[in-house]
Amino acid sequence: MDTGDTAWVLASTALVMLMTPALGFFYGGLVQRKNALSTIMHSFFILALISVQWVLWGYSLAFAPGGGFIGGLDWIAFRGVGQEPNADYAATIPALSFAAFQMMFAIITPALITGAFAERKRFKAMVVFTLLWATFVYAPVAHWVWAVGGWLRTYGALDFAGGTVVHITAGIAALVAASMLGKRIGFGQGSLEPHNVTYTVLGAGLLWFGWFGFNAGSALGANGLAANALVVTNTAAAMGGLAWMTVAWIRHGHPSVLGLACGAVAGLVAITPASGYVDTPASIIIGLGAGVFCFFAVDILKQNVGVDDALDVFAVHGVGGIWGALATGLFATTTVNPAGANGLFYGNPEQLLKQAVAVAAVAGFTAVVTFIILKLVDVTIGLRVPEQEEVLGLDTTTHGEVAYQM
Amino acid sequence: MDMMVLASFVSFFALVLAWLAAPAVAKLPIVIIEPSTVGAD
Repeated sequence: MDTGDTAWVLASTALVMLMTPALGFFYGGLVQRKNALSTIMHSFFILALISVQWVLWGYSLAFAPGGGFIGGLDWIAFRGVGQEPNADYAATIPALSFAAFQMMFAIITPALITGAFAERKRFKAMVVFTLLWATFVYAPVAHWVWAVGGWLRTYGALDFAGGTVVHITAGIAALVAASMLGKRIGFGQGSLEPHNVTYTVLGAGLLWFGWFGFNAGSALGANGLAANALVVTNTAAAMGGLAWMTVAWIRHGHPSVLGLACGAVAGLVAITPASGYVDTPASIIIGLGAGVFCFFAVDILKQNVGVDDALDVFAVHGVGGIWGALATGLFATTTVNPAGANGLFYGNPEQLLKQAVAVAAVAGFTAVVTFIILKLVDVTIGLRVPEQEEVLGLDTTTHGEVAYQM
Repeated sequence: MDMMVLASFVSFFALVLAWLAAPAVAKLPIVIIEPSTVGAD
């Protein structure tokens, strides 16, 4: 047991916890005024819901000893997860600390998806979808990538802090959900502009802050690897924001505040899988790519494909996550992390192939299972609120509250 | 499965069932305009 490592991972757990309410503000500012509370509610509710689901069965399915596809039931209700370290995962911190840190990742992942169905999904449908998705998508994929015996971990795919487990799963699920729910009333008519960009920038700032725990905490120790992860995280966020803002400036004529905020989040997403394997110069390239690729993904998805992914979850988390996972296969170097692998630019092209296999497997699995879950929820509860409720807004019709009394 | 684990599962799923059974009737906003507020009295 190492007290410094334990302190850092506990503090990182708190940092990552803050990211989910921060996401609520990030998304809450992007929707119409009449749906601000319902959008914030999605994130805040999921924080509570998955906190319990993870303790009861989520952690066990993800990390307890099992097969290559899914974990076992030995650790349900955190039985067997105690104050002593589990050397399989983190030899210097309590097993409880590792489980709690992982809990925060399990929470924010389904919360990310809510951006795709904002302003039109039934609350009950969101509840049931989230429980099923956390069980049948998140837990298996976390097991594949991070658990001892997980098939992608055994195969050699690298994901330091959740590029595939968190961002690709959330991004793909968001795309499927947006396609199945259909467009919001008023989509394409310019009536769905963000109601409070200030909230969104506040949310982005808090996300950036919390992401230090997300990535540097994934070193699971207070050490040089954590410092590397923190520096590359900050650098990629900065480059992502600068790049997105620049492209938006050239295309639309304004240095957009919203563009800077969204670009920073895209940079954070992309560096996530790479943060424990790449050095600082690589993080500049990764951040640059994230800002540019995600900006154009938003444009293409909205204008050419016509899918109403309300808050651009696929464009930012899906595309950013895929770019980050593949960039790990390009820029990874064992000089940063001897436990990792070299990427293409360090003489190991096979790593890029492994990353591509991981991306394809996770994306394919997520798409199919998410589709099945949404179909089940649709036939039993119904995914979408009636048109009248959508027009009036979900704050009043679903929650009986309003965001602003003026 | 020991009794405490069983009780914790039952507690959680009792809440989930309560959510599913809870009223789903939308609360539509009702605006009451008093004559005095529009200067009609």
